[in-house]
Amino acid sequence: MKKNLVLVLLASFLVVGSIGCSNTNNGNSSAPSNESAVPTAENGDAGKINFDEEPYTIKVNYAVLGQEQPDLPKIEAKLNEITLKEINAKIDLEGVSLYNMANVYALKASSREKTDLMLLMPGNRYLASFANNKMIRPIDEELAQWGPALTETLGDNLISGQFNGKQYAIPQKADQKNTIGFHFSKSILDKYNIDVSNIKSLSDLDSVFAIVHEKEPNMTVLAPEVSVGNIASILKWNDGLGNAYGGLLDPNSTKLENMYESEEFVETIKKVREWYQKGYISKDVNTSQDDGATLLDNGKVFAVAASSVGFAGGSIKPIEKQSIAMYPPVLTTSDTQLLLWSVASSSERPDKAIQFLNLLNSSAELTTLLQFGIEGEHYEVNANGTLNVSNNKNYESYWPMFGDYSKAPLSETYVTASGLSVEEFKLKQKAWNDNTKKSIAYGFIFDPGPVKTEIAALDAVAAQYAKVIGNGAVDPTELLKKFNDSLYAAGLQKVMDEKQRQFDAWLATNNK
Amino acid sequence: MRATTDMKLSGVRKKNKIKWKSYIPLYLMALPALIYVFINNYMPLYGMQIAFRELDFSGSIFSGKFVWFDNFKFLFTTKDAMIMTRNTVLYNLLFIVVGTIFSVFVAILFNEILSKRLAKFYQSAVLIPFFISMVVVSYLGFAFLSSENGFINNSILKPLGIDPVSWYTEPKYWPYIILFVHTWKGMGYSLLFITVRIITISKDYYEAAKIDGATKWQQIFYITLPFLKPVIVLMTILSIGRIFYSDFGLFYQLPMSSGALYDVTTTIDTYSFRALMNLGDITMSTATGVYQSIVGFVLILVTNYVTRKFSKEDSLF
Repeated sequence: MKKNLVLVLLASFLVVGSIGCSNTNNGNSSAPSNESAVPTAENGDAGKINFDEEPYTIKVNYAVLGQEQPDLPKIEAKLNEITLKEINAKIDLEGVSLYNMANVYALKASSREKTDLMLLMPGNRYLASFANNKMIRPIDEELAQWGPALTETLGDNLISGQFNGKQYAIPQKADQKNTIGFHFSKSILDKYNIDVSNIKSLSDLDSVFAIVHEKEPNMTVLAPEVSVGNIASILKWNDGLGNAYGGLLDPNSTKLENMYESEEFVETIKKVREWYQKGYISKDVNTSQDDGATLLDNGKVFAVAASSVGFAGGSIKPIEKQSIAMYPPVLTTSDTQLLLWSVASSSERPDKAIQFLNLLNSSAELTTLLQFGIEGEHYEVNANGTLNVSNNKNYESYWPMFGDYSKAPLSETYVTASGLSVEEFKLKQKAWNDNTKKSIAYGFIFDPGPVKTEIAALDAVAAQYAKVIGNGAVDPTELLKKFNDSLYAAGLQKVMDEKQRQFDAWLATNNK
Repeated sequence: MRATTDMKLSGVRKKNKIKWKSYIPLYLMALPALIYVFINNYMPLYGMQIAFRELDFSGSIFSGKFVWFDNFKFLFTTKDAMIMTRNTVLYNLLFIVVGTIFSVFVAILFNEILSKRLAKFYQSAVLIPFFISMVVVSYLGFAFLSSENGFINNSILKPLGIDPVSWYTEPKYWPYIILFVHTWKGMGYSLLFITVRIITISKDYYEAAKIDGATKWQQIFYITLPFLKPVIVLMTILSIGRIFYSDFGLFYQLPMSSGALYDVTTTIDTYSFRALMNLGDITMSTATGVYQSIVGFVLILVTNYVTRKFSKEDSLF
């Protein structure tokens, strides 16, 4: 697949070269940091945007959590001013609830509803099946012609938007790789003088939880970050290569294993079970529809097991939180696939869609607008250049979905919590990113097509057991065996074999 | 000879024609509903064929490659196939039997209430749950059953000195809970049909029976129930046609989709929802729908056939 990427990049540079006649393309190197080729391309030489035609309206579907966004029209109006000028297009933003994204997109596609750009989140769940279903289209040509800023900012991250050797999506550049760990409520930590910075293993947390449980009897001590997840699965590192059924338990391993049978997982669930029995975890955890993250913000929960622990060590919005990492950050394909921008097959103007993504990735102004809103209305600029977003009620972007955030200003949410200056913060971020390992399988994308029947059955089995076991609600010894038996009965081995076969083939072509 | 038969025949035909003509206003009145049924229920039928195709959004609905029964496989490959089919069918049978008995019983009770105003009030009262959304019902249930703050654990079991029950992880209680909620919620609706029928029974029968010295029980058994038979048979045939369907809210929302309960709460609908939620593969969900409706269709034919064998006038067609 890497070979393919090189080919694609080569092709893209060739096209860029041939269209922009004046552009002396110094070398067809696929290195993303090739500075001299890109600025010329950005100036419009890569392909002249036709300003004579009627402005095309690009329908952009992005992920939201379901709340109303009263100020969206204002953002759109502002956005359109810029896009009309830059790419002669209007943008029509429409949020799609994260929780029924698959259905919404399937419905749109089957009813031929106009849509151009679709944000897939989590992209690893949808990319392969949507590409197989031809719901989204390959965009190699458009990318080559209209996406110089994309190739520049994303570099070899672009590979995670590929499927079967074709570029199907543009990944969102992750400015940091989050890892697994815990978020704690800072006020409680301070109140009882608890230091969590030296915690290395799950057992180290016993004493911390015991204190909080004793002193704050009405508070739930621990919850999973998202209600659909479960504590044990969050805390066990696993590169699932696309789904939870067979994965690499170690970033350097090339042999697929069933996570639910691994010793570490068994250890983790035993620990979680112990916590549950001691009353640290709510008895209603398996039926709760509230995300632990929300409960933490509301002061109902002391700690959440999270997969969103960043380098900053906490945040201040809406309450002060301190975070600890339990595993070093490892970049996997699904990490850069978390947010994927893809172009619908039904799009009339895929070129315009890519032009918009390209503009988004080259304009800090647009990123700031879409992420934080309008200055004075949704955010204020602090003296140190960070943004104060505490008064923002009417517009919210939940994830870093819009372009290259390294160019945009920082929100004070994380900077202030870290207690560092902006420069130190950026250095720390860089150090973290430099320390981030890449999983050996980075770039591999599993095609679930041949085993989709089995995966449907496995999804049903996982829905039955994973949460019950992973949150410690029942004695895991017997149930875990039942879970694994059911997984194998539903075709786990077949899925793992197929995945291993594809993975081995990928390893061979990539000389790993 | 032949001429006379012809004449006779044409006479019959003419008569039929006149008869048909006199129905025209009625047909006209039914027309909007017929158009609605045609658009809503018949026109989408051609979409059934995507259950046998590969999912392909690029072209038209006919552009997917035929894969025949591949899309149905996920329903039958695992041991869950057995469980969900068992749950769906048995729960529905239970609902049909218990629901019918209960509705008939309550309808007769209501009919015996002398104050018409009170009877109306009770009828409306039992109908109210029918209009409550299942999501709301599920939270009402949660208020009762929650482990931490639930009414049953905290206000009933605790004072009695009984250990709290973790309702959402104990499958053994759920068949009863589901049956109770379904009856509580659905009874008012089937009650309507039965009450309407009871009201039309002429009072003369009861008066005659009374004169002959029949007791209340005898009146119910020999007058009310025989009159109700066609309605009960009709309702049963219709319910049997939907025996492979389940009330999604009842089996998904009410148990709060708790994994520990799946053995007793998984039905064909909730299983396909859970299995396909992440895939977004509409050909496979169509396959589920096709499977359910074809089995339901066959079951309606069979039930109707059996009914016709035993009592012709009660059968649907």
